[in-house]
Amino acid sequence: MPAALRRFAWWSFFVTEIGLVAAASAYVGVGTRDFWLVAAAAAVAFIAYAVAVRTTPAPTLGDTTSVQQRWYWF
Amino acid sequence: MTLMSVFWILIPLFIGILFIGLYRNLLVKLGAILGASGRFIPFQSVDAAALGRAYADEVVLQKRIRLRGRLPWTRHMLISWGFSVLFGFDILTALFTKYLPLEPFRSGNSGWLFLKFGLNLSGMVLLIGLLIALVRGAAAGGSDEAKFSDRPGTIFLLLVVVTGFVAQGMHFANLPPDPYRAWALLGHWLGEAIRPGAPYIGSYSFFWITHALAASAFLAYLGWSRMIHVFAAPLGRIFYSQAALREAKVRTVMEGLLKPRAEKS
Repeated sequence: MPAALRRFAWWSFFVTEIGLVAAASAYVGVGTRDFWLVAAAAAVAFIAYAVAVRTTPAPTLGDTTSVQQRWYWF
Repeated sequence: MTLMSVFWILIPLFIGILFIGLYRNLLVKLGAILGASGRFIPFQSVDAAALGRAYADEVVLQKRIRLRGRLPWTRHMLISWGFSVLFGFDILTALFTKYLPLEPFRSGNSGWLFLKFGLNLSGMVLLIGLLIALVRGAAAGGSDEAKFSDRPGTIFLLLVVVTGFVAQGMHFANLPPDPYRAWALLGHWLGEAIRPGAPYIGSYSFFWITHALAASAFLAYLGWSRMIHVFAAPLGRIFYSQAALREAKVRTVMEGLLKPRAEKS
């Protein structure tokens, strides 16, 4: 995967999750028990995303444009 | 712990699931295509006119789907535009009524009525598109056209939309009548229709949280289902509007075909 695309994958994830935690804090407050639960949920999402990024095999071009997938892809 | 807190705790998880789905089912494939096409084309080499045409034809007007017939095109336009505009109004509603609460957007004021009108109109457009998709999907079973059907996705989105309208109708029915609320269209009509059974206390909470959770879960579902075409199709169409990328891909594929095969041991 090109480095620029990998950076995009990480930055978009971080910006979205941090934005969500910030938005949630407007409801649940900062430093409250619920705030830490929201933060923990974001941390779990981060760990799962990191595992997915590390373990997802790179497909071949043939896999990517196979007939079964072409209808929604190109 | 309130239901709203539970909702906020679940949101980062649902969005995490969406991102994992997008990475596994979209970004790695995009990476393979970019690998075959060379690299990102330099910014100054982007054919802006072709990109604009591709966006207008493929995303805004969806001309390729028009080739499959008027009904599939109408259904797809209603769903895609209904969903996109509804999502936009959802963001505006959260922003102006919760995070930056401004006077015009307080309940009953002109800004609030505008948001309710936009939410309900786009929701109704989406609802009509989904109902057409459901009926058409059932009628097209077994035919060649059936490969374009996505019944689970349609039913899932229908659940989100219907619970949203029911929750809103119950909320309005719990309030004293207000003629200005007619701007809320279906939400208002539903509220007036069920007013004799008001107040709806427990059932309103149930429908509201079901709607909120289903809407969030639907976002997670987008990355793991046929619904990923929401992201993939426009990207793919715009991607190959660029002659440089098309030619680079053809060149790479041809070079691969011309390479002698390695002997199997």
